[in-house]
Amino acid sequence: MEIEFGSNEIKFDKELNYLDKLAIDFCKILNKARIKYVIISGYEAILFGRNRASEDIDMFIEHISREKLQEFWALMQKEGFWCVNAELDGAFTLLEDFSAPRFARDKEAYPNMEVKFAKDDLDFYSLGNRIKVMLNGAEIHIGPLELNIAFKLKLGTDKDIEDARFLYKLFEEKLSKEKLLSFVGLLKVEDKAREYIWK
Amino acid sequence: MEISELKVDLKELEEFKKKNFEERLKFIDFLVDYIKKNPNKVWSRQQKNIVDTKTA
Repeated sequence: MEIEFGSNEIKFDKELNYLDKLAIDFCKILNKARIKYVIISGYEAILFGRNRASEDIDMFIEHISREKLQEFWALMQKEGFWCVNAELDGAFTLLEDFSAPRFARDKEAYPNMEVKFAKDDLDFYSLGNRIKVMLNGAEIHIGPLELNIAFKLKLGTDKDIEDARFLYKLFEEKLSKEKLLSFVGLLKVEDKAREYIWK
Repeated sequence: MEISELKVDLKELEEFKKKNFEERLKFIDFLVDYIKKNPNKVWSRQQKNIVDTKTA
């Protein structure tokens, strides 16, 4: 695997799959609209090679006004996307309720981008400590890997544990053990980490 | 044979599920090793086949 690690930046190229292209194109719109976002959860594992599909890509964004959402909305439509489950006002209400409007390519319903306002400390930590990934020259931002690994253990389904193990084993030498242990302790998943990660 | 007549060993099924999961975890380790040892072009081409087939 050819991959470059910088401080808070990862750079690599790969043959892009459908989910990669969706993430790149949607993040391009957010970057253009100057909306701070962070991709979290399963796509982080898929991005780096985990062999599985997904119906959606989860992300948090900073809190924005309705006017800012409207600005994003116009850009999003211009770039060939639509909101699957709401019109503009409904989407803003969903965001304010910490639920998710979902955005897909025109004439498609999935896979889609599941967008939520950051809500709790962990969400804001992800946003504040996001990692810039230059994927085939395109800029996307993902959450801290240490937090994602611990959170996946907390979610605890077979799929989540597999994602956690995949990310840990792939980046074992690059991860901050101290941060990972802190998140494992914070989320009280020490037993799962012992069973599925450390061994 | 009626469904009501079928006998299922739930303990055995539970063992099967556990073993299956352990094997999947071992395969994750194999996949990580494969990705580390091969150029991005090699593993990502295969990943694209899987992701795109399941997504399309």
